Amino acid sequence: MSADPAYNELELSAIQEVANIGTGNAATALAQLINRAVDIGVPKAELVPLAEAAERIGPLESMVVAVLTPVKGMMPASMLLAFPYESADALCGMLGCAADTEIGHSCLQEIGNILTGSYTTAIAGMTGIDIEPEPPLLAFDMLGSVIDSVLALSVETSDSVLFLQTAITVEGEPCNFGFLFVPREGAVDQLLIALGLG
Amino acid sequence: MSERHMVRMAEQAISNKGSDVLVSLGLGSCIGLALIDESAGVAGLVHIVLPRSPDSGPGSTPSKFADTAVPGLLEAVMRAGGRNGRLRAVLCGGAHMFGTAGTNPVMQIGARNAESTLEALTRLRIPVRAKDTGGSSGRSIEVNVASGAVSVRGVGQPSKQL
Repeated sequence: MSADPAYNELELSAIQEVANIGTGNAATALAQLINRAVDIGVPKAELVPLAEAAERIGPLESMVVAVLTPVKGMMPASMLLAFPYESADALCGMLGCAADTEIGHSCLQEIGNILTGSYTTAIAGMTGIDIEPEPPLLAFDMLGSVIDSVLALSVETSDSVLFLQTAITVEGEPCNFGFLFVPREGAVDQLLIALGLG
Repeated sequence: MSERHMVRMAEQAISNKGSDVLVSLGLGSCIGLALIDESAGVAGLVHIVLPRSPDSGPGSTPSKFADTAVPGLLEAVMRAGGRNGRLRAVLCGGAHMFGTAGTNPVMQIGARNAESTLEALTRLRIPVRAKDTGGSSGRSIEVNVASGAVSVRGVGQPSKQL
């Protein structure tokens, strides 16, 4: 039978706070990299039925540049940065290249690496959970199709998926993107235990 | 006026209404599998997420797993008037969205989904009319219930009839 995880309000707000700190650290790293101010939205921790999950992130057929950074360790997860194409190009432009070049691709992967690394470092520092990013991967395609394999890893025995989502905007530039952290199935329990809530 | 029915992750839809169109948008590693009985005007579409149900069983969503989604769709299509000997399968999806390198399980899901779906079709002796699986691009699928026509399209590509 499917045993759907249910988190109480205290647990969800603790998870959200962890996301908050991780995202703050990631945004600081991005600001230093591009030497501009970066705004972060309020991270949302949501437990969403699988059928609705992809649409919560955006229109399924919208074209995105996706940087996927798998996270390994005690809390395996996937970090996905989803950029509208113009935003990816604007961000690459700040670093002196164009998104549709080989250097642009490396640049986007490096951004995935830096943001995910800062996020996981903050979580590890706060909770003692040992996690680290793997090399980032890149795709240019429909949002729905880049997200489904990420969601698939979290729903083998559960019909809903927990994700931590934030919007990031670079001030004064046409650059905004979604920052999405999806723990693998069961991985959040490790986090809750580390926070003394498990 | 045709009515479009969205079939989201781990969902299925069946129709014998000629005005219906069954749609799954943005399939990556997921599979869109249609079973069509053209002469009866019946079609079903399921949006498969994972290749195999876990040892604990498929739970409340057999449509999520290829091994349980295919027999589930077959049964539902037959209940709506389809006949086993006339059914044809069309499937698409099962892509590696993030390249082929590495051993991360994200990489493997698409190919395993396609393989497991085809195995289940063989087991149930349902002939495959057409398939468009694998590769590294996302796809959307539309099934026209009246004609049994299936179209698949990806980003920046013209739609293909399967």
